[in-house]
Amino acid sequence: MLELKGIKKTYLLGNSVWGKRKTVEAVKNVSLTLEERVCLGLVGKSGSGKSTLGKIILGLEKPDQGEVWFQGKNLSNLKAKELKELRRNLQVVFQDCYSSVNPRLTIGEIIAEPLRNYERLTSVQEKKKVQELLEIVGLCTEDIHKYPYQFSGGQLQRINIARAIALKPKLIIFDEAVSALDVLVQVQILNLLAQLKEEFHLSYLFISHDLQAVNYIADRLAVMYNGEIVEWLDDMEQLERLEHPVSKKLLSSVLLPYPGHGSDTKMIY
Amino acid sequence: MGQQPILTVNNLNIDVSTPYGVTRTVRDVSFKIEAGKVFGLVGESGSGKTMTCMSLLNLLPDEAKVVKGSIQFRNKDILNYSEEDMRKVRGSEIATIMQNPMTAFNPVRTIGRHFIETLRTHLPITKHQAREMAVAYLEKMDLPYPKNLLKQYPFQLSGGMLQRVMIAITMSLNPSILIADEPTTALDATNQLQILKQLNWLRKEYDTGILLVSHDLGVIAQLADEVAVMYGGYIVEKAPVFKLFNRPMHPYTRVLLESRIGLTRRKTKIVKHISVPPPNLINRENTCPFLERCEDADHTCSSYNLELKEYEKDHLVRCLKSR
Ligand SMILES: Nc1ncnc2c1ncn2[C@@H]1O[C@H](COP(=O)(O)OP(=O)(O)OP(=O)(O)O)[C@@H](O)[C@H]1O
Ligand SMILES: Nc1ncnc2c1ncn2[C@@H]1O[C@H](COP(=O)(O)OP(=O)(O)OP(=O)(O)O)[C@@H](O)[C@H]1O
Ligand code: SF4
Ligand SMILES: [Mg+2]
Ligand SMILES: [Mg+2]
Repeated sequence: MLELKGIKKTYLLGNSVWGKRKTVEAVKNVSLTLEERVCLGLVGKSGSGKSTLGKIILGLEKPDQGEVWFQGKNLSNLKAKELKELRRNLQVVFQDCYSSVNPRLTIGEIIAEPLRNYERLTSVQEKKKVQELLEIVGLCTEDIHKYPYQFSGGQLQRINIARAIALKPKLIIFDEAVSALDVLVQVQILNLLAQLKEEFHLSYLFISHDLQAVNYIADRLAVMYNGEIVEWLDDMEQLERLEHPVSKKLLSSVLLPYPGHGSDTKMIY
Repeated sequence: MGQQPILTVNNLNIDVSTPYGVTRTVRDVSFKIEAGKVFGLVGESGSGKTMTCMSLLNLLPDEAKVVKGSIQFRNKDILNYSEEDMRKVRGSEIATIMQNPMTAFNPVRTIGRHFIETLRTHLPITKHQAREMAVAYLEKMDLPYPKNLLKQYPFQLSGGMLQRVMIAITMSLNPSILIADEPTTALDATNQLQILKQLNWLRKEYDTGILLVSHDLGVIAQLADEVAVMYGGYIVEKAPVFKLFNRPMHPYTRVLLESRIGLTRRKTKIVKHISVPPPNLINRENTCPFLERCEDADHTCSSYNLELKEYEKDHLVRCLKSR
C-alpha cells in the first residue's frame, strides 16, 4: 500500500559565503513498506528525520533520491490530476492543531473542505456527512457552527482528525498529533483511532517521540536515528527485546507517571 | 520547608472577552513558588494554565484581563509594575520557556543573533564574550556543532532542537524564577530526561524556583515537589506530589490518573469516553466546574459556591464530596 525505496534527502545549511556549504543528511536511504490496516510507529530522537520522511510521503518535500510508491503508483511520475486523486487517500494530522485550521471558518466548513474538493455533494448531504463525522470523533453535532478558538486543543485535534478521515483515506500520517494533549484526551483519541483503523481498514504512520503513545497504538515499530531506520520491531509485546543502543536509551528514558518507585527515589537525580 | 516564597499568586482571576460574552478563564488561583522548588501545574487542555503563566509576566493577550487578585514578586505586585520595570524583570529575573518554541524566535534572525542580543540586553558583556557564552550553553544542551548552529535560522531546526536552544538561552541568564510551559512536549524521551535533569540541576545549583506546566504526568511525577490540578479555570486539587499521586481526592484528578498509560498496551486499557463537551465558561455561575462530567455529582453540587478546602494538611480539594 505504501512503499518507500531508498529515500534520501539532504538540506543545505546556513548561508556561508566562503567555500563549501554545510549540509545535513536529514534522511539517508530509508526503505519501508506499510501494509493495509497496520499502524507503523516511527520513533527517534529529535532531529532524526521523522518529520522530513513524513513530508516526503505527503509530497511536501521532494526526495533527492528514491521513490515513494503509494497504491501501486510512483508518486514522482504522476501528473497533477492523478496526484490529486491519490492525495485524497493520503491525509495528515500535525501536532499544532490551531495553526492547521483557518480561524475564520466554522467547524462545519473546516470539515467539509476536503469533501468540497473531492466530492460533489448537495448542501443537505454535506451537512449530514459533517454531522456524522463529528459524531464519530465524539463531538456534538451542534458544534458545526462554532469557530476554532471556542474549542480546547483536544477537541480541535479531534476536528482535525474528522477532517482527515472525511474522505475515508487509505493512509493517515500523524506527526506528533497527540503529543500536546492531556493524557485523558490522548487516550480517548488513541482509542478512537484504533477503532477507526479496524472499521475503515486504514493504515497509519504514527510519528512521535512519545514511546508510551506509540506503544499504545502501533502494531509495528521503526526506530530512526540520524536519518536511518536502525531497528524494526514487529511485535509490540516484545518492547524489551529492542537491541539497538538508541532504542534502549529511548526506552529507558521514558518517565514513569508515578512519583518515586514506592520510595522517595525519583528518576531524575 | 519554611522557605520564603519568591513569588506568590493570590486569588487570581482572569476574564477573556469573546464575541459571545466574557469567559471566566482563570478563577481563584493561588499558589507560591519557592526558591529551589518545582511547582507543577497539570490539567485539561484549555483549563487556563498558559493564561496563568502569561499573567505572571504581564503578557496576557489584549482580550484577556486580570480582574482580581495579586502577584507578589519581591514585595511588589507585578500587576502594578510599569512596562519598563517589567521588561527588566522578564528574562533576567523571571524567565520563560514556552510551549511552542517557534513563536519565541524571529524567523528572519539567526539563532546566533537572537542569542547574543538577548544576552547583551541583560548582561554587560561584549559581542565576543556573548558568542562564547552562547556556544558554551548550546554545548551544555548537547546540541551538535554549536558554532554552526548560531548561523542557522529557526526554520532549519527540528522542533526539539529549537526548544533546546530556547532552554540554553534561558539558562544562560540564570533567572530566579523559571516558568516552563510544556517545556518538553516537543522533545523525545532522551532529550526530555536530559532537559528535566538540567532543570533539576538549575534549581539545586542556583536555587531557581520553577513553575512547571505539563500535561505529561511522568514529567510532573518526576520533577515537581507540589502539584496543582486545573480544571475549567480553577485549581481543583493541590498537594505535595506523593500525596496527589497516591491519594487523589478530586474526581477529575482521579479520572486523569486512571488514564495514565505508561508502557501498557491498548488491549488492557479501557478509559471511559467523555462525550460531554468541556464546561462552558461564559457567564457561568459559581457551580463546580466539573459538574457536567462528574460521576459523583448530585443535585447538591450545583447549588454551592465551592472553595478550595484543606482535606488534610497541605492537601487542598475543591469538591463537596471529598470532605
Ligand atoms: N527546511 C530545512 N532546512 C534545513 N534543514 C532542515 C530543514 N528541515 C529539517 N532540517 C534538518 O533535518 C534534520 C531532520 O529534521 P526533522 O524535522 O525531520 O527531525 P524530526 O525527527 O522530526 O525531529 P523532532 O522530533 O524534533 O520533530 C534536522 O537536523 C533538521 O535541522
Ligand atoms: N487569545 C485568546 N482569545 C480568546 N480566548 C483565548 C485566547 N487564548 C486562549 N483562550 C482561551 O482561554 C482558555 C484557556 O487557555 P490556555 O491557553 O490558558 O489553556 P491551557 O490550560 O494552557 O491549555 P493547553 O494544555 O491546551 O495548552 C481556553 O479556553 C482558550 O480557548
Ligand atoms: S463538587 Fe460535585 S460535581 Fe464537583 S467534583 Fe465534587 S462531586 Fe463532582
Ligand atoms: Mg518532527
Ligand atoms: Mg497551554
